[in-house]
Amino acid sequence: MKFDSYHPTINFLYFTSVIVMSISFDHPVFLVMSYVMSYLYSAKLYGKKAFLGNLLTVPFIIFFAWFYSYYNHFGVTYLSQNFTENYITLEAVIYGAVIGIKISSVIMWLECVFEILCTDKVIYLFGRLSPKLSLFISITLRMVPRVIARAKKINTAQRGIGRGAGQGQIVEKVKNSIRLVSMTVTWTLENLVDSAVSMKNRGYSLKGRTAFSIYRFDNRDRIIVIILMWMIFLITFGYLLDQTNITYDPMIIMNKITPVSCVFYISYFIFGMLPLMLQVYGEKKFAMQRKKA
Amino acid sequence: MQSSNKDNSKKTKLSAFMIMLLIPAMILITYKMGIRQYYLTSLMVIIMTMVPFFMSFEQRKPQAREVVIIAVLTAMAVASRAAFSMLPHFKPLIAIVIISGIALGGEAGFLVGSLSGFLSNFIFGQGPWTPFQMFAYGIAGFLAGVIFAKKDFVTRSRNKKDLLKLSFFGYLMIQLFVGPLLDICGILTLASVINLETIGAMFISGLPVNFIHGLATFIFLYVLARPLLEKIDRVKTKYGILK
Repeated sequence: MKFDSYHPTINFLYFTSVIVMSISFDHPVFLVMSYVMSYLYSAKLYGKKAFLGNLLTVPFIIFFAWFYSYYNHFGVTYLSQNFTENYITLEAVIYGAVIGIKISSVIMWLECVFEILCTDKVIYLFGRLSPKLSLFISITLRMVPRVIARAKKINTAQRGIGRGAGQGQIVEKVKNSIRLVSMTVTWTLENLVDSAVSMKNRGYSLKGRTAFSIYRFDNRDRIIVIILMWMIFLITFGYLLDQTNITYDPMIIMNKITPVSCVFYISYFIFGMLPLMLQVYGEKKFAMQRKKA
Repeated sequence: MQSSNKDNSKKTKLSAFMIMLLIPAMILITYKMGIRQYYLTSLMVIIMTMVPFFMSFEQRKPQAREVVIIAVLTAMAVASRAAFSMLPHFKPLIAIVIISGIALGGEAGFLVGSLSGFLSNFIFGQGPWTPFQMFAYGIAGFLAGVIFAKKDFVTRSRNKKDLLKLSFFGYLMIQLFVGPLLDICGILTLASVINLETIGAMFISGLPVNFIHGLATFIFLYVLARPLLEKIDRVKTKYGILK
């Protein structure tokens, strides 16, 4: 049971809030947590490949910290001088690393977004706001592979008479490709009237038309929404209490970590790990039931 | 078509006006409150600017044929970006967007541009740049429509001089508008300190990219504009679309 089996609005709410949080929280505990959580979740979704690929973010962070500290010289702790005799400061290095971590965790969260929020869900979400636009988007999305398939078909036929896009010398190749594009465009434009007529026959622009979707909001979704809302509430509270902030310029100043701040850490942890935990739980449950049967 | 929906167009104009007031208000609020979230603020501004365009499409009650022809052009723009994916920044997407803006008018041009930016990013990866891309591409189509649409460009595109003018317009569009806007997006997302130095560095590093992109647009407009415009015009006359 992946997180994508839940309602699209929940997916959307979750990812927007988690990305906004990873961008806006400066506190090292939150930073490390969002990095680790996004790393784990994308590794879970994509398997070994993503686990290794995400390792590339580590040199990126180091490089970014180095790069940043070379061009920014705020801070009070001097480490050394670079070739233009500007001071490299600890604060600048750390802040560069912070930005690197933020960028990489947002990238990893976005990887997860691609896996979870498919185009179907995007259309469903936008369809509420603007039904015509979402219809338009779904037509276009279907049209793209159709155009490409049609171009391939034409190319196959043209190859039969020696005029394929890849045949002949360079000039011929270009000429053939242009002809291929021209034919595809004409064919697609001519065929669009068919789709328009069939749209009309199925009641486009009539009143009371509904859009089909396979999503429904059930009790499981309600429970998740309540948990998510509680976590967001708690984290927002922490944000208002300055628990997520830290000053890097000119000195590193942060609030003391008190038992109360652990509450916010835990709620952020639960919030970030929720999809991963749900998936692991679902897999375990399925495996158990399979054993029973 | 618009005259039959006078109330709706009034509504759209009103909402556009409201948004015009909202944007500076929001910038002022974020400035006064000392919220230094440049990216989020500009993102909101861009989304607010795009809203009236989409709303007018929603309220105009477009015909099925109109929807489909815009969808076809968007699909072609997306497919063209996918087809040239191996050449970095050498993309015909903007050329097709500009051509559709000319053929179908400014509003349709905006739709084709912004949605081809949005949809092609499903193939190339969505990110913080998506809204900026949507806005930049959309405005390219919109301006092309506003500047060229009323001059009966189908017949004029047979004239070499006008065609060159159009292609040069495409190049300028990239070099002066689309490219810098995407550079600004880069500044807002990548540079943590925003000052003249980082802005200058970003614009300079963006120059070659914009040049290649603009050159591609120039070439593709020169090659594609006449045949594509003729084809679209033929379909328009044949089936009575957008008349």
